[in-house]
Amino acid sequence: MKIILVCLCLFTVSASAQEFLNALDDNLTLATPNQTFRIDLSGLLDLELYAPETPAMGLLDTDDGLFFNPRLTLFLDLQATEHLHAHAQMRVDRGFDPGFAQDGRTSLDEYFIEWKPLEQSWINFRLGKFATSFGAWTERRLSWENPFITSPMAYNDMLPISDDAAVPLAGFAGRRHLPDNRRTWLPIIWGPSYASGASIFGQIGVFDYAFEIKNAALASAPRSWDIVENGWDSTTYTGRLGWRPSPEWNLGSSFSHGPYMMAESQSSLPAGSSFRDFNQTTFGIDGAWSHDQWQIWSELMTSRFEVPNIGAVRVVSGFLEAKRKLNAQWWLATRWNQSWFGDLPGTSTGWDNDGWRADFSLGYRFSRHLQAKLQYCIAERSGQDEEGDHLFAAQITVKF
Amino acid sequence: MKALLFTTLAVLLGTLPALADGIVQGRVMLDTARPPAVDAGYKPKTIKPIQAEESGRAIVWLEKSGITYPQTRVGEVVKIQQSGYQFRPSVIAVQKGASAEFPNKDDEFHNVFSYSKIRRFDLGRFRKDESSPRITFDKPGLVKIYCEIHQHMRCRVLVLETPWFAVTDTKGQFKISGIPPGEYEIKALLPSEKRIESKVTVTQGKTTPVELSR
Repeated sequence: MKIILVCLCLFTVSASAQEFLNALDDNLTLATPNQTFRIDLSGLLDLELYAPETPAMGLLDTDDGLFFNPRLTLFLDLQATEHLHAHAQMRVDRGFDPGFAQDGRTSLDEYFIEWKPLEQSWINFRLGKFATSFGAWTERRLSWENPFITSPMAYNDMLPISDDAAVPLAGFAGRRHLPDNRRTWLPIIWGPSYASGASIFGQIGVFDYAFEIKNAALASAPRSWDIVENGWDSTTYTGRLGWRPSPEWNLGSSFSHGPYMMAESQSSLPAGSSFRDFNQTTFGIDGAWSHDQWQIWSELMTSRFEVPNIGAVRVVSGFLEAKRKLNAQWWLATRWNQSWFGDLPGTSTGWDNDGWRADFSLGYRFSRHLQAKLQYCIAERSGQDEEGDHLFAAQITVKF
Repeated sequence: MKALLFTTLAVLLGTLPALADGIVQGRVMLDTARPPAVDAGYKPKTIKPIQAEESGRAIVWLEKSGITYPQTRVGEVVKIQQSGYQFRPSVIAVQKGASAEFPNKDDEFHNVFSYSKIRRFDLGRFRKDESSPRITFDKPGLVKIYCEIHQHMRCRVLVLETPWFAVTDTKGQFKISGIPPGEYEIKALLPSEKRIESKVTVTQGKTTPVELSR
């Protein structure tokens, strides 16, 4: 299977394959002559190879020295007049995050309808399952736009907080040293956070805004996102206000507030409390600058988790990411990530270990349909931790 | 007075070969390009509305084997604007050695690039009225140009050895003049990027009508 995929990948470099992909791209769009109705099918085929120091860091769930992760993502866009748009994103992979479903799975990551009542973009409505409006990283979450293979630390570094059961105080402080629990841990924001709900968003001059109500908190795991499977147990409010003072700058501030414990945790919670009593509250600022061959992004956020049996704990995390195109096809990117943890309530002991991670990436675009990336990450935490400190990754993406 | 006479004579002599050369005029049956990636209108990520793409046009040119083409158009510098989130013009023909500039007329960044083998470039992001790098096309072939930020934007530059070419209007009509008499191959690149070709005989001082269709 791997050999077939590698051969397929080598084939896509050839000129005839490029012509085929061009033709495929063209033929997957159908539109009425007046453009009133349109159907567009597109996709990404990612072949990823991870070589982590085990146990792997972040949202990579493997104990293997080499982990192969193929992923097919299909996008369906339906447009009916200028005012109605529907979108669906389906994936076949080995887990929403690599390794979480080793034997493969199929999922609908996004499905939503959008209504734009006015000619201008001042106000739009969206209903369904879609990426969060918090921060600015989600705009480049797909492999074709992302200069890296992995997401920033704030979006994939697992914190010793769980949403499926309460943890006794004694077990909480030392959790970082029990990596077997990692599968139940949460990051500050779980990737793009494709939770379900409704959104109102738009753009007025140099300002843009988005406000959404969803069924899962930013930290909630993918298993909580789908309203069809999980219903609506609790409500999270999220929003972002953006400002583009000039073409170079894109600035924004975001907030999110809502319960992160799952309904299944109820039996383990302290008597008299509800799983809806434990909120995640997050504030963030983001800034991006670009000009010529440079693109720079940064985010800084602080998140407060109300933890059963523990009280409120706080984490601050941020990153600074830069991409420099070397020519039409090569680029280099680097990202510095850092997280700081507050103290356990009533103590001077941090509830987790401060840490940093540096990411380096080299990318090459063969064409509008094929690109390759190499990435290396090095991470360090204060004190003792069980996670590996190094990760090598390679990714080939075919876009059609 | 003598000077005036000599000047007039020189101008007349200079224009005589052009007057004596033939003209090819006609029409190409245009087909349709693939649908635009987005339709016109306001989009959530654009400050102003996206304008409609240009209607389809073809490029028509004449070739003749075994001759050295006159280098009459190698010094041309065409301006390909980014305006209303579209390339204007979006179908261009140039002679090998000619150049293009890409002025940005929108209030937002564009990032013009091409991965075409014969001319790869990436201009980076630059704002309205910032000077654009000049790109010289020194190999013949089709250069497909896009914007990295607005992926619906597309532009085609056909680089030709011959100086005898024209871009049709939206009805497919064209006129190529200044062609020395003789037998030529006449070719067209359609909006769909399919090519058609035929043969044509150019007669001195006359207009040869041509209809090209698939």
